[in-house]
Amino acid sequence: MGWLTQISSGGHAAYVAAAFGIAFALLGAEILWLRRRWRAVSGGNP
Amino acid sequence: MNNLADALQSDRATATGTARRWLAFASARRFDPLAGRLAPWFFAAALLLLAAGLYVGFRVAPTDAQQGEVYRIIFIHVPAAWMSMFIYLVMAGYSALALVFHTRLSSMMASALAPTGALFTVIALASGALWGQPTWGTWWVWDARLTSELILLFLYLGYMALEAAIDEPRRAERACALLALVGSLNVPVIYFSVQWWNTLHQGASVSFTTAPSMAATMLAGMLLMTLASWMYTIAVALVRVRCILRERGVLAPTDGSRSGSWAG
Repeated sequence: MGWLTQISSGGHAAYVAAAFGIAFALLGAEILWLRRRWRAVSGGNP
Repeated sequence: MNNLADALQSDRATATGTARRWLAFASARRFDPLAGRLAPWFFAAALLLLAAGLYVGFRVAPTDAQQGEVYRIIFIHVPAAWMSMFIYLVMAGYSALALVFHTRLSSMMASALAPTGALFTVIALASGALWGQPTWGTWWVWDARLTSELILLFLYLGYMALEAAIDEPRRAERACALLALVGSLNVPVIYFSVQWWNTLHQGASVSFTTAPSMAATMLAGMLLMTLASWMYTIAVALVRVRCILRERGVLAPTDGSRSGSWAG
């Protein structure tokens, strides 16, 4: 866990976490939205 | 002379055959099952490359001597910025194909890429702001790189709004194709903005003409994340085209029911 302590040091870990968090949240939302769109057009196929 | 004429005719026949084989994939019925089979592989490749990119970016790449740990935003910011520009150029390419060859599938591919391109632009702008605050002391400046990237976001949003605003699909496709082609002029402006103007944004760390000005492991992490984004974009675009084909009535909802999963 030493690497985690190290990359959390310096006081800017929140900025890095926010950047990756926003990216993954947006891309995850896109996949969920696309999945719903596919279900709607394909007559309920998962 | 006869031999020359025969050879020319043979070359022309081969070229026509090759073109016909490629054009066959412009047929929705040929493209759809292929897209359904390929999408899961692209999703899987994206996940593997993402895992490798995060591992290299957070465990292997060293701490930056000047910026410390906050520089690790580079592993999402640069791939997102590259993808935002690259996707728009691909959209413009598909739009040109659609205008020249009247292939509707090309318009649909351009349309399918737009939301993902817009997302990557938002990610590039948001991660850039989060990187700018601790390193520049500000979330935003109106310098040429940031402003031209913001214009790219408006171009993506404009493309999607224009498509939604025109009811007749063929007219919408033509209008959007023109917007994509004209808007693509902004991409070289974004890329070269740091050379053409004095900007707060740093110059390119990676270019085609000079050696990269960063550690090899940092570059490897960045390239792995870019490849992951690329695979993700292809997978999502393939699934979205399959949706568009059904929404526009080109294929029936039950078409491809043998591989009825959204990506399979």
